[in-house]
Amino acid sequence: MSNVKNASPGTQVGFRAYLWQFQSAVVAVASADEAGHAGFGLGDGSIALRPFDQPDANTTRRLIVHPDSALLCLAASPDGEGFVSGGDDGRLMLTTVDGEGSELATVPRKWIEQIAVSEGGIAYGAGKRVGLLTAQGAPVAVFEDHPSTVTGLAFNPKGKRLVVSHYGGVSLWWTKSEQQTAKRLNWKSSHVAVTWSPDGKFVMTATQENEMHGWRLSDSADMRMSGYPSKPRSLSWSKDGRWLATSGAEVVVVWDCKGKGPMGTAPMELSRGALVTAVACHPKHGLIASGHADGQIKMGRINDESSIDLEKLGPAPITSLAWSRDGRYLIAGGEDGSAGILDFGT
Amino acid sequence: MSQSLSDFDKTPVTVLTGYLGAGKTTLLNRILTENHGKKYAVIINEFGEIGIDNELVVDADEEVFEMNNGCICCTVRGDLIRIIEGLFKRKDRFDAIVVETTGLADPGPVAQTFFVDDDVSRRARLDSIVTVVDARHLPARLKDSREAEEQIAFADVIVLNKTDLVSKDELAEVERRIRSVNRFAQIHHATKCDVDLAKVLDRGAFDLNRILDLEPDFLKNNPAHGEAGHVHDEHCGHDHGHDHHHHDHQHGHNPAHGEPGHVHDEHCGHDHHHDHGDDSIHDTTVKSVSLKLDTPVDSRKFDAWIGELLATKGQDILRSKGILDFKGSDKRFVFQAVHMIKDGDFQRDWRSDEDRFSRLVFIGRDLDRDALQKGFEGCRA
Ligand SMILES: [Zn+2]
Ligand SMILES: [Zn+2]
Ligand SMILES: [Zn+2]
Repeated sequence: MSNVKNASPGTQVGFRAYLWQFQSAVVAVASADEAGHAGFGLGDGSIALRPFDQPDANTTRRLIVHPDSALLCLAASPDGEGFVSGGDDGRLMLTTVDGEGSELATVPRKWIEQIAVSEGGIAYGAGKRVGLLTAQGAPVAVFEDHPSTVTGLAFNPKGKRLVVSHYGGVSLWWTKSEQQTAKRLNWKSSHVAVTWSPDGKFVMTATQENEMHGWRLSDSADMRMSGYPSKPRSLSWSKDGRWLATSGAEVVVVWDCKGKGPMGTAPMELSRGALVTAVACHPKHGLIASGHADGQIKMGRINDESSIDLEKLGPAPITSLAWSRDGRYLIAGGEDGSAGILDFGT
Repeated sequence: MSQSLSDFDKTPVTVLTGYLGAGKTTLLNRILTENHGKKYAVIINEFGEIGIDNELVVDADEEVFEMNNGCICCTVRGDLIRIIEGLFKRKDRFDAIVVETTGLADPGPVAQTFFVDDDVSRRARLDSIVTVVDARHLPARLKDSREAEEQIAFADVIVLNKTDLVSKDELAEVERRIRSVNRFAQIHHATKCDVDLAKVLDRGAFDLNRILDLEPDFLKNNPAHGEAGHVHDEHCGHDHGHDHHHHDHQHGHNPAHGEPGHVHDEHCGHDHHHDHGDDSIHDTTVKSVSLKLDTPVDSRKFDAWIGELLATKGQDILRSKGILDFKGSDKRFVFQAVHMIKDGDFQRDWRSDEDRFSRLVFIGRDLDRDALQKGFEGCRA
């Protein structure tokens, strides 16, 4: 289907939408850029693939990565040739788009619920354990000293440090095998997601109490941003690192993180609609794609009040959104198994 | 949320509490193996010690998280939130959930998880808290453990097990002890946990619309179901007209981002203050208090009173429930709370042939009946 949508007068966004439905929930989506494939991690333990250059129905391939289990997390592999995934079978898998799979780690009787990937390595979280591996998947270190189950992982921009969120705050680790003690940043709350700003200055978490919390790393100063009706769990930084887009309200709440940070500032509110459940900043332009609880996908523009409805995937909440690195394709998935690729190329 | 399910469509969750050795595992295995047409996912905490044969068994660590600036009663089970969300990634695998807690667990955080967390409450509903107790050992447990008392206080259903190991008099005494803590739970006698599962599963004990059905005691002084002298009356039937429930967490708050009236401020945060009672004394006993008013209640006075009561005494008030006859409304208002977290809604119309009244029930520690009565009287319209 081909579309041209009108935003504010003078703005036009043209794209082709490819939409379809899986039998089970789309847990997470990711873009394997080198291999040119969109990946859909599904609740039934498989990864479904479609090539960007020919995303028609008959090109879908299914790789059974976690047999008889649920896939819980997915990311593109560091080399962009495939995907890293974790499941409730306690296995961390690396799978190329050609279907070659290798088991990178197993944690008996635990769920692998968290993954972070950077050019320098792969990290996973299972229970209180965080495992660190090289970009090729060789084990580097295991960090066990966390006060609760790990709820989020993020590398710093250079991949030299790793932040882990948990009950009571976050732990910062160096990404090397040496014996070390984590630097703890404490805040009395249950932190449920974490991200590191692209300029390296801030670590931000979402909390169980429907707030954002942040630390300015230069002086460990706390920042607290609230007013969300729901947990702001999906977090995405603009390319230049200035803006942090968050889910959890009926608008995309965007914090301006230049200078000393966003606390005390008024956020931008974009793309009003049903509760925002997923956000993804465009990798090149000042655009933010958002997925909503009613299955709608919207696009907003930073510093612009107008937004446009792109597609409605299905009636269920959007679980995940990801852009291809070149910003041409937007990959989307929903809780009811609805899925889509939006092609903004001409 | 636009995708909000009606309570009827949500996955029921049964919480199973009790000491190891009381017979909890026997009951759990019966739930998993007997033919009742439901596939259960089981979340357990004593994996190694329990022999369970089920496809979907999840091993949990009881991670109790404080909320609201570390208020000791405003707690949730962080592990449950994650696990339930994880289970729903493959919801074809089960149609009901059992959460087993250790003998040392306080049921409060488990119950509150279903009221506090939107991601959980959107798809799952707390069906009931079932406590298995051992007729022979309970009196000793009640003396030495605060948790044993709380598990009885929170229970909707109590399976009084191993009744064959005590004399008739001992059994009567155990039952009296249970009733002194919780007057409202249904008690089922059992040996080897041979209780009818229909009396344990699908109780709807936290369904506001069924508060009355399960507790006719509420309406008149009719003993509870399963008790001697219970009379099944018109109030036992269920009518299931469903309205949307709204949960209310006791904090006044700036409207959310994107909502009309929202004021952006430095920290739209809520610091709420409670009297933190001395937690170390566990000798105090839990009891039940029931209050009734025959003339209409002013809804604003009631909101103010119950809000203040739960905010200041909610740590000691474990559960509360009520039916209110608000002046100016033809509908019954039903209400429940676990500690400070309350949930209320208008229900069906009062029928022309029934007496209108307001009834409140509290189960808690150190309850001052006279003060509660006085406070409730003050809500008269
Ligand atoms: Zn509290
Ligand atoms: Zn009856
Ligand atoms: Zn605000």
